[in-house]
Amino acid sequence: MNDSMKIESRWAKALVIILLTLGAITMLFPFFWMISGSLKTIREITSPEIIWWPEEEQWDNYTTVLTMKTNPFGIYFKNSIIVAVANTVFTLLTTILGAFAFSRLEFKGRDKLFSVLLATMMVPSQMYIITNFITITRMNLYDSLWAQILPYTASVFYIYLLRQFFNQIPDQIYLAAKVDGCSDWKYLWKMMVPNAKSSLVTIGLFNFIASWNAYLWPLMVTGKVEKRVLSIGLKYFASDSGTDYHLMMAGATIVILPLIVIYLVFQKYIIQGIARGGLKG
Amino acid sequence: MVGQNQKKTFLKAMLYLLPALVIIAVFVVWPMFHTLRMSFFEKFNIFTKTGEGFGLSSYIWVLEDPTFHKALINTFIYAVVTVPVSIIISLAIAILLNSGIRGSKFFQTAYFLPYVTNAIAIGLAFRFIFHSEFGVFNKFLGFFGIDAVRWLTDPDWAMVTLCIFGTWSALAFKIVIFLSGLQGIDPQLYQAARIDEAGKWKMFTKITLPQLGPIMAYQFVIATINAFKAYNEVVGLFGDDGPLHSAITMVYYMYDKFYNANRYTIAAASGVIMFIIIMLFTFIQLGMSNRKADQ
Amino acid sequence: MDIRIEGLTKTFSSKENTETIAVNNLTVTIPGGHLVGLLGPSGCGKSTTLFLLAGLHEPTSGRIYFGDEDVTDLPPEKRGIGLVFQNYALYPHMTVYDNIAFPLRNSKSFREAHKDSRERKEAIDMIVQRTAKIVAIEELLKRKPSQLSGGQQQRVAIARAIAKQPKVLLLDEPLSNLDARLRIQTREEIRRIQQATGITTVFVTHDQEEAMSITDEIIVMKDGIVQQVAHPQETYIHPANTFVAQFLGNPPINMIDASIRDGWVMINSDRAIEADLPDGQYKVGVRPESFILSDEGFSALVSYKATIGRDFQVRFDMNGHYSEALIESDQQIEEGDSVRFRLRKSGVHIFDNDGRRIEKW
Repeated sequence: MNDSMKIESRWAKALVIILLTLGAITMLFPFFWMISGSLKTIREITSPEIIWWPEEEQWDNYTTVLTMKTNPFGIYFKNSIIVAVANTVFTLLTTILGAFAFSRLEFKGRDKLFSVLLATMMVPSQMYIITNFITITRMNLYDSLWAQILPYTASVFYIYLLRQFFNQIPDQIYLAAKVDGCSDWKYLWKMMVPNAKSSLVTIGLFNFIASWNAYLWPLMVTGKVEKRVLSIGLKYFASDSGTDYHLMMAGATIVILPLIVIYLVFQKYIIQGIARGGLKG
Repeated sequence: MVGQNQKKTFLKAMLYLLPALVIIAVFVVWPMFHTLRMSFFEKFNIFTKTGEGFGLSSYIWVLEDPTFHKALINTFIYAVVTVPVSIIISLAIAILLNSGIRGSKFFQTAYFLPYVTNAIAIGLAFRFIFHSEFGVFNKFLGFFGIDAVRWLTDPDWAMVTLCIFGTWSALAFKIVIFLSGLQGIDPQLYQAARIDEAGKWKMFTKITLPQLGPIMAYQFVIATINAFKAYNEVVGLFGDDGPLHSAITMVYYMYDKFYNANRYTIAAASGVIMFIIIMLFTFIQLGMSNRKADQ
Repeated sequence: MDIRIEGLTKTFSSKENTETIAVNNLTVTIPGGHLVGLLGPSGCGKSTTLFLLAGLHEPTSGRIYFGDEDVTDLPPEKRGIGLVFQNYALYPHMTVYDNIAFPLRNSKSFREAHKDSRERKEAIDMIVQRTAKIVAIEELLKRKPSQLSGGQQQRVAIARAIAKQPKVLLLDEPLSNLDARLRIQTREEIRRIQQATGITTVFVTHDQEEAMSITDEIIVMKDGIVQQVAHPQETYIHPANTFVAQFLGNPPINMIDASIRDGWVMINSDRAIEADLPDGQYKVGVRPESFILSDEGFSALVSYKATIGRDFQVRFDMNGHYSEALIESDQQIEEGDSVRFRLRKSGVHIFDNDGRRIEKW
């Protein structure tokens, strides 16, 4: 905190707190309204009055949503977990190996290859999905979880980030490990990875969140109900259910709650990740 | 001996890079070229991978399509409104968060939260809030005697609603970046200014803003690129592209042409046009900030 | 076990296709059990030589023998060496204990010697404890490197290097990151550890005092070429050439162009010292402490005087060069004085025009 930016006057302080509180309400209200709505009856939710909190919490709304025949949120949830976890594990693997090669192995054409990869980051991902759809269909992966996992198991951006971190580990550590009989492979897993733990946690978190929130691509490659992930399920559910807003809010809460939990647990890593790496918004 | 060693290192590096390179080659590099190629055909069969009518016909079709015009205009409106508004609001919030008041940890948690949310799910919550009959927003406006607005169903209001939602969604990320930028400013600058008896406003314009210059430029570029790619916000809020396609964006257009209309070459052409617009914008912006830096 | 280096050369090629010769045709034998200093200014190739010995660099040509074994093509871990880096290079995420145990856990021969995992664990524990005791860090074993002072990190680095009982211990500027006081303490510690273990040790440094104080032998290098290999005292008393003479000694030796006429070195047109050499131009080096105020000898005008400890530092003109002398402070001398100096023979070196020392006293 910059001392000189501090506000001293009591009135100014009060004003700041009022403004921040109003702002915080604006930021949090949608979440509150979603959760409160998810516990209301249909009558309460469509009432012309403002009902801040239901008279009696309708926990059944959640059971209903999770076990629906047409939109089985239980299955969606499971799919989302599988896709996000698999995606994150594979991405971390390809990122670790790739970042190691670019940071530690001095092979011919390394810098050129790296700049070519960096250049691909300029192309918006929306441009590839057309071709990727064709590729996935031809690989006979349409309507599978693999279709949602595979294209996002490597990221130039994460390789770039991790390489930055790997580059900070002094060369002498590498040489010392060599003298101590450590192979490159062992060095990667015993030295670099343990030292890069916090970077890896951050990358893993961002990847998990991105995968959990992905929408357009999963929408394109899934037809069957049982292969949908939460984002897609929620969309279909919303268009199927008309004015059942209490159930829609329960569905939305199911999608968002894990994110809130992850956020509260790993806030430090996430904030640092954004601030340091400038991870995309 | 040395040559052999070089070859060995190269092979070894390739083994390490193989997983990443295969994925990136198949799902990033190849699609760039393939999409570009596809965009130059009039018709394209995605199963035989052959096209007919090589030329610019798809581009001409897209550029003459009134729906594309609508998508282009909407995307521009969305960018022109949400980018500056969200930058100003988030800078203000970051400055308040950085003013040393108590409980700023709690406030930070609250303000950063929307960063991790799912656009479809929170879009649904906004859909509920903006509902013209029982939405809480209209009820709230009713307290001030303002008539109910059909936020989601009136084509004239759809873009307004989208911009409100878009601004709200874009704040968290920017606040984090601004806050870390503010915390990175050397306190000695303020101490020096204080000795020179500079007022708060002067400190803001003469120290804070110039010091945040590069961060501001970065935010501007990233935010604009993201605004050009707006899609999830639209679907989250409306479920489709709004009443009478009134909130259609470029990405929505592309997706719609590809997936619903099966006009692959049109979709590819619109994707390429989008890419060109983003590139042009980025280069102009970079050029501008470089020139500024030179001065 | 001796280390024999024969015709060792290492060139680095940079991107612009220029080649720099870091080590140039180095041939030297380091006797077993000795503590040898590799001394020279930065960029002289001493660290490269060390890394070549370690196997971290591959030589362009030449061979390296440890005893009778040609180790030139062996990877570092098979050479039986321990290496201590300038910045210690401790593994930051491991405790001191794990740092010391790491080379043992990695060693194939160690694993083969202790097949049973429990027995191996005990063996490792024994060695770690014993090594920790040698370098006096027993109570630090559970700490992480970041919780240690520079001197403690240094000891851990040495412990890690000697844990697997290497045949050769290599130290790369091991004291340069320590403050002055700790440096003196630690260099004696290194001497003690070396004598206790009897490991052949090569010690790279650019600090002459460091090299002089603890080594059995010094190898002075410049531009990749060995200048002199000798006992530390010998390099000072009998420098092989102008470079060694100038590099060793503080304040540095005065180097002047002088002529010899009729068996006398002439300074400021006066006879300064007798020299049994043919007439001609020579380079003459005079150590600052070898000037003696006298009634005879060569004349000089004192232009500057300062007191340093118990000596006067005196500056005067000698054949058109400013030279510095250290004069004991019980002598009468002031700025502006016109004085005469005699030279003490042991501190005077005469070099031919190629820089080789040719006087024989």
